[in-house]
Amino acid sequence: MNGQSAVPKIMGSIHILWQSVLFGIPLLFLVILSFKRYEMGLPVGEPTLYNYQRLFEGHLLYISLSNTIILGIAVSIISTLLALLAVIGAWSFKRPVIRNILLFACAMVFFIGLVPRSFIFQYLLSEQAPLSKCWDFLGLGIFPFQLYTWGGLVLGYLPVFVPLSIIILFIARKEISQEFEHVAKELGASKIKIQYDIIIPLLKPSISISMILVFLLTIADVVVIDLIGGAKVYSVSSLILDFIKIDDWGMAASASFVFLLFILVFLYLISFAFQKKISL
Amino acid sequence: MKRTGLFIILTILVIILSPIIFMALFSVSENRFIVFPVQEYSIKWYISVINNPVVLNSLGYTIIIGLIVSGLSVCLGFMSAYWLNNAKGINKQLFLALFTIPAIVPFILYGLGFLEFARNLGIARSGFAVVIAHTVTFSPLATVYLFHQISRLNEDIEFSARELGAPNYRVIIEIVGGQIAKNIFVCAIVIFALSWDEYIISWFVSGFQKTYAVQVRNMLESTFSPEVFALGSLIGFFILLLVSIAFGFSRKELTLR
Repeated sequence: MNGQSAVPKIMGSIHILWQSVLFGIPLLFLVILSFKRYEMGLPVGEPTLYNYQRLFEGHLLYISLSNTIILGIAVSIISTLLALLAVIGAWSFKRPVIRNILLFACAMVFFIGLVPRSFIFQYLLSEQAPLSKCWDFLGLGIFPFQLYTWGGLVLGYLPVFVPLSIIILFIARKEISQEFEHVAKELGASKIKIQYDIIIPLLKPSISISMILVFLLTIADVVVIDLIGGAKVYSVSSLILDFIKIDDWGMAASASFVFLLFILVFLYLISFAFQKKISL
Repeated sequence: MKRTGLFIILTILVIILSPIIFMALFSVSENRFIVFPVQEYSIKWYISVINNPVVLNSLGYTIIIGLIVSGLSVCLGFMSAYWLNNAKGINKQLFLALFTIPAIVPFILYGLGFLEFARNLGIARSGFAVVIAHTVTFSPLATVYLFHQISRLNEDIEFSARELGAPNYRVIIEIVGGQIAKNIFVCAIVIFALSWDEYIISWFVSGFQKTYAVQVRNMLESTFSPEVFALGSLIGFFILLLVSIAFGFSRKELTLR
């Protein structure tokens, strides 16, 4: 029996060791790098707090961090809301065909190359694209989702993250027993009331998971923000990449470390909020 | 309600699918520049991309990396999932949360740290580094997914196999692994697709030999050519095939249950 219980422990230890060494040590290197001062792409002098001083003295970190947070919140709320509507809509049909088509489209889209898709979306949001021309044709004024604007960037993220939110909510919706709906119907509840008072409250944990995941993925993204946001919507990822482009690895690492701390604090607050809610 | 539902679904499908539809459309345009509506149709960009050795090399390279990453991630994920399922006296949810951290931390942060780590080890700018970094970031997903699958299994089957004298390796591989073989396969496909499309870590650590995502970005940044759309459409078709297979397997699994 002892021999049997030792095998899973050894198996688990291998993965824990793998992750600890190959994830923990690189993060340690990131921290060490953040204390190195770089000039002309080369490290100079002793370990110093110079990078952090420069980072906190300037206004770029604050602007990029606030932009990142606003963007993350906007994308996570809109993506989850659209996904929720899609899932509720799909369940309004008795036959599962529509649901399967929706799930299939989402799963497929999520894995198709992000770079070429974002590039096409860059075109779709440009002035020459049919979307903008239609808007002009209808005489609706200035197109609010133009390239390199907040509206355009949020719209650019939707094809990327709505499928993910749909998949998360779809799985959760599938777990909800049909009996709840039947009983509510028997008691005379309207279709909207069933969704609002029964289904959505039951989906709340998955809605939270979807929002957190989309938020984290949005703030971490470097592709869409670069192609569609340009220089106007400056995020922390853009800031880090800009330091890398000028070979200032120390500044890039210090910005990364501050960003990492921000994410850890965010995750801690989220888990704290969840625990408080559970205890309540 | 049904009409509203259908309208919402169609709107969302348009948002989700429009980039792919336009990508496929521009890939068959004769014109080198993006012009809408498409004037003349041609498959010359497909022929051009198929005859482009740089693109083909990056595709082959990415497939090899994806296969190794998915294999390694699934093995490691299965091992830790099996341990977590059997572990007693530990907070399983806490361990599961700790396992997921590498998948949550932005790839740009890990990529930067890993590049410095790999430079010191002398493995930077190599496929080996890409494989390690991808396995670290994607194996937690295998742990979480396979843990949920293993925890649903009937423990009596494993117990009976042991009672009948089956050695450990047979119990783990044939009994536990055998019961979730299809889930393992689906998990491997998902990780392959994630590794395939990952950009920033590959950009940091891949050397002259670039992965698909990095190659496409380079093609877009340097001399733009609709070859990228042809390539994207071909890849889209390939991923569609993979997802269809994964879907087929998981649906079959659900039906059996």
